[in-house]
Amino acid sequence: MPKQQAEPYIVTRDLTKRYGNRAAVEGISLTIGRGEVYGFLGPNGAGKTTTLRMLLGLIRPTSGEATVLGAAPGDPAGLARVGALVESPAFYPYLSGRHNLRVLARYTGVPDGRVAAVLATVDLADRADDKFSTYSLGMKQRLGVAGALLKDPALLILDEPTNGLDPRGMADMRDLIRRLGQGDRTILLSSHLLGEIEQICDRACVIQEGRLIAEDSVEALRGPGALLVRAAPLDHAARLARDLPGVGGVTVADGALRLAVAPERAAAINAALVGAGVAVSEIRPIQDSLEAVFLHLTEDADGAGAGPGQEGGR
Amino acid sequence: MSPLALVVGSFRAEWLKLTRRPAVWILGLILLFGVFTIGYAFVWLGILLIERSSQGSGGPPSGAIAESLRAGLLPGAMIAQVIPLLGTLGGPIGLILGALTIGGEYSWGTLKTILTQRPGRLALIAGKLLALAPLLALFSGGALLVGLLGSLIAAAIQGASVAPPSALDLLKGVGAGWLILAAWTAFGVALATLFRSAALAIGLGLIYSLVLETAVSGVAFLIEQVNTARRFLLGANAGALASYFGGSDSTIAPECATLILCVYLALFVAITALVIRRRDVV
Repeated sequence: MPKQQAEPYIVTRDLTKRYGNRAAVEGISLTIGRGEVYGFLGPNGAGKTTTLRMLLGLIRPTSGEATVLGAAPGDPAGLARVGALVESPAFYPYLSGRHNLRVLARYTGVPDGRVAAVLATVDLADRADDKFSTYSLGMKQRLGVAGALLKDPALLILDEPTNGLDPRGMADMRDLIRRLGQGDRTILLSSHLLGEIEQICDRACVIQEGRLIAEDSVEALRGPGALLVRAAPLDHAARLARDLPGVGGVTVADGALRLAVAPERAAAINAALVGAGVAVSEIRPIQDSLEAVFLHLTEDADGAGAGPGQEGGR
Repeated sequence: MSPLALVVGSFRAEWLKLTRRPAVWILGLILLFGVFTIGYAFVWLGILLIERSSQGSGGPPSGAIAESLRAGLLPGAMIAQVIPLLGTLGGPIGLILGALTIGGEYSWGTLKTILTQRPGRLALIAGKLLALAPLLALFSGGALLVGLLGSLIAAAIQGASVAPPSALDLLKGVGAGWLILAAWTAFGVALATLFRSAALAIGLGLIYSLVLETAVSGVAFLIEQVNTARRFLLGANAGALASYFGGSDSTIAPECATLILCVYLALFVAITALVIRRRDVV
């Protein structure tokens, strides 16, 4: 469930980053509350990582403002409660996983004892004393998450954490993120993988060419749902369905009707069609996948040349 | 955490990284090996060759040269033997060490990992430079220890006095060696920060020290203005300070060389801090 009303952990207002004449991010305004698992969705090069870098103080915005846990981005006071994995995990190749985390623990000011705990959390204790350079990509990603967890952060920022992982590794990483997102911890998850956002996040935004084009709960982004009806004769069924109460639209595809109507109306629609002499062989609720919604949104934005901060949420 | 605690944490992290990095100890070993071989083994070999050639030719032995070289190998002359070597070897060693220290953060992408942890940019660079300081003292002190070892061996072979220099002279020697190494290391750190690369920093630094400074020194006696400018160059002042300990004359007074090296050190640190603080980490 969305927890947007909760204490805001990330607030941005018209956040913009330009490189010369090119806007990498333009006019992004977001509010992400405590306890949310928030998806940051967009194609590669959309400006997701640039936004995350601004939130972490790695790069300065050209204009606009942001606060993270009430502090300016990059402020040590705010970073004390933020864990982050930005892009690929970067560690010292000549050090073991354990020593890499000890280095981070010293920067962070957390006791060395915490290192063993986070290694266990990401299931890397067995290989902790091997050099980072010998790790597989999946192990490197897990070490990156371990580094982000050292501070037991209130806010976890993960940028494409399943990038390059095999299906098993992706599933494991998603399970881990789900576990980490339980309770009051806020997670900002950036991904271009729609299924990932759909499975993990409460709320999400869609960013394209640096602009926010939609923001809502994942459920709302996917739309209110519809009914798929297989009936004969189809043309007659379609004509009848258009006049039924609550039906917003009727389309015919693959020998079936798609009715834009609340799925709870299935029984009433079935009764109405059967009563009018239509043979109904199947009626079931369907919902757009986030992928379909995403493609629809990004095509619209491409076509319309969406302006800065243009909201497409439903 | 207070700003001081952040610097201390950063120092502890940097120390762990430096002391576990093989490249750091390889550089240290090269320095110590260079001091021993160039400062003692080669000189001893030279003495043997001089004596052999004077006996073989039937002429008078080159007693004065050999005696002078033998005296230079004794523990009492250890500082004069070692510090000039730090003036020549210390430049590239310090430059490479400094460039690797910050250049690696860029090439591995670890700068973003560190900065997203907590310390803040200035605390990060303060910790990094503070961790280099005792390491360079170890290098400088280690060079003198190797000098002591070489000179004790030479004294034992010659049956000569093993009296070492005074503690104060040793301290001055370690300090001078440290300053020479520190100025060059800070140069490497600043170059690697500016160019976000260890390789480019090392290349440019070596071009500066081996080509530019040598060329300037080559024409300095011809053109007065160039000679004046040469007196402010990093390598010239490092060499002048080292020469002072070696008992050679230099056109730059040791006090002046010390001051200029301190200014270079401060300047490189300031450039590094400014760039790290201001520039985006991409």
